[in-house]
Amino acid sequence: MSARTSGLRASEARKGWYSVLPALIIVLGIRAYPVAFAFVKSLTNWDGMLRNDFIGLRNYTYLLKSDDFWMLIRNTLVILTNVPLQILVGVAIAVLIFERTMGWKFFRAVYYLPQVLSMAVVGYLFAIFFGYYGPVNEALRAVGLDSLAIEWLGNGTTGLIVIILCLVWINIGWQGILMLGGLSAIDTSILDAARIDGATYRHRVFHIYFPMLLRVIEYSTIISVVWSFTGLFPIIFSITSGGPGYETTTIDYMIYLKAFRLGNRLGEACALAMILLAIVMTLTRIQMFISDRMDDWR
Amino acid sequence: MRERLVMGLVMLLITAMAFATGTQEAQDSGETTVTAWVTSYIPTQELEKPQEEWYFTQAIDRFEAANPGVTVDWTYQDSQSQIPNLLKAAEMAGTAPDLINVWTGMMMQSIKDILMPLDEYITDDDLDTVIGWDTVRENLDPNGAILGVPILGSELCVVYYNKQLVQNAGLDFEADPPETVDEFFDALAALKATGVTPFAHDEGRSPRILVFFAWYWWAQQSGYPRIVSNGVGETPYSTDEGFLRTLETYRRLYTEGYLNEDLASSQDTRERMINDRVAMVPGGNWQLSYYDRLGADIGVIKSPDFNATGDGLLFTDRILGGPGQALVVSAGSENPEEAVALARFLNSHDENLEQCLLNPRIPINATVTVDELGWEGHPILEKFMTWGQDIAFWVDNSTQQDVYSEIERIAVLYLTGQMTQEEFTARLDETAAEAAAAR
Repeated sequence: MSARTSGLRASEARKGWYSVLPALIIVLGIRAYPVAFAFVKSLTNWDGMLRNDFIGLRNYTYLLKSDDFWMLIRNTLVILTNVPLQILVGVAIAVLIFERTMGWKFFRAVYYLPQVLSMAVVGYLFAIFFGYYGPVNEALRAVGLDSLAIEWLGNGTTGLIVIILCLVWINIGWQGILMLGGLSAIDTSILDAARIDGATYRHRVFHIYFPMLLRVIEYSTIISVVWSFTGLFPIIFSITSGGPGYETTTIDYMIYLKAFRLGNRLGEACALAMILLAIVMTLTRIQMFISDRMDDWR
Repeated sequence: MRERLVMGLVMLLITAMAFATGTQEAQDSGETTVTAWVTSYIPTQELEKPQEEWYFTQAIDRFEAANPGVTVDWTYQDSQSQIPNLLKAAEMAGTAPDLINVWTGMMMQSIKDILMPLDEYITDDDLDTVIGWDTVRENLDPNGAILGVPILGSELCVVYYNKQLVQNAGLDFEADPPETVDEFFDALAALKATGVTPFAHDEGRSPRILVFFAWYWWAQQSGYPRIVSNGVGETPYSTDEGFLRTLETYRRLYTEGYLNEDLASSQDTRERMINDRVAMVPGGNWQLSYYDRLGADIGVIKSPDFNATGDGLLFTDRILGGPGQALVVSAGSENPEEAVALARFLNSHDENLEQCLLNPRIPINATVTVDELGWEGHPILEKFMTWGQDIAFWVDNSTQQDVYSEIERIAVLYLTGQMTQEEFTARLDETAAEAAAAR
């Protein structure tokens, strides 16, 4: 390699760095700095004011040993069941529209509606719907099912069910549009060939659509799982506020509670945020590993 | 290019000089701006009016007129529970206001590190004229440093009831109010028999039946030294007999079916009270203007004594309450003297009289009389004035903040049987110990 070529490469590399530098500074400032700050604070007993002593890993050991932490994990895992449900509903809607099933134009118009509403608004609507004197219970009473008209948001089990239903409902639009995009990418010649070969509706769904949508489903799963760990705050806040007690509290909601509601435990809240980050990164890595292995199987 | 650079530098220099001159002028003219965050000076009914019609806006105009050279730059904060967090953030950013409206008791204690002790600014006349100084002293110790100025008035925890529904049950709370727990339970049974919800509140959101109503029994039995020492982890809740008996009675309200069935998730019991679906709700004197919508049907009683004989009780025939609001000065304030002067002005006879006429409460200024308030003969306000003479201080304000926050969250689990008494008290002991260790 001549000295001139080497100089040109160095110059190009320098230009490349200069080009990405503004974006890099913004990303580091917005993303890396808060994470680093939270990590440092997670090693202290910071209360948001003057108390800010270094206490090593005490916040982490305290959190991991407490029963509450495992309840948060349990709640979050229960809520994760919304992911397969919303994907299933999303695929169903996308297939209905793609197949131009009767009424598909109507579905196409309404299925994205939940997505355009604020999550807090949807949350409050669900809280009203599932209130003790709300429309759900009134409907149950009207058809003689009084025993099923319970205080849905008054205990953890049914409270979590309502939250899951809400999450599925609010994500129908996003899942539907994602899956519809995946279906549209299928080569029409495959579908034509299948029709000529006499493939029924069921055959097309299970032997063409689902296999061809696997990559989209995989992407959707990763995003939805990450969101289920980190993005539930407005829903939990508006439906149950994490209650009764902590029965429907998730990790991200507990970060808020510890920081701002339960005695200014900002150090603990930072530690919990770091644990959440580790969980999400680990889960994402596992999902990507599985998806790579699935590629090998195919 | 060079020309542009030179022009830019000149403009920068001129701008900097202009700012420097402006600052110097302000300093030379002796102008002082007191910044303030207030909440409780603006009652709900005033929020519906234009800001210039608010009492507080006009009071500030009067203060500024009486104190030339001092202006007040104030902001209304609608969520008082969020003030400690907002204040902490502002303190870190160096933008904390001079004067802040906070709750007395443990909320104030929880932020004492960023408050300025006011002993040197408070005069003997202030101490004589204004009531409630013990509620704003460090650690609620009568000899502790003064951390704030009590304001507005003394509040009371009461039970509002619907006279018509109570009469339907064959009861007359005006002539014969329930004075003991047993009598209160008898009244609940009679009300339940008529088909209405006897007693209701959104306990899952805020356990007021416990905190405003039942904790009076705890104060009667255990006393304030024990209540405070439990909160700071020096004594356990699990061995506090008065607390345990109070919890048992509180739970009886639920197990015997006297409370609203959806108390863990309800949000509208106030509206149900107005709509004649509920016979009684716990509340405070500051809610009278809301429940007044029931007109002549609204009545008020206080929490009954734990027993009739007074055996084992430290006091009887009192009511939970006391001065619940204060103005504090932030540690970094450069205008503490002017800030205290503003608090003193707001607590003056004429201003306090106007505040109490706007939103009925026992005046913080001891020189304001019932005659001036014109409350004589009013069926409820007269009771407030009488009851306010013998107060048992807020139990929630006497409870360490971490522990109180925990109680607020989990009380409903205990009430509805989703948590046993042992689990509940163990949890409180654990929280108190953790908070003590953190301190």
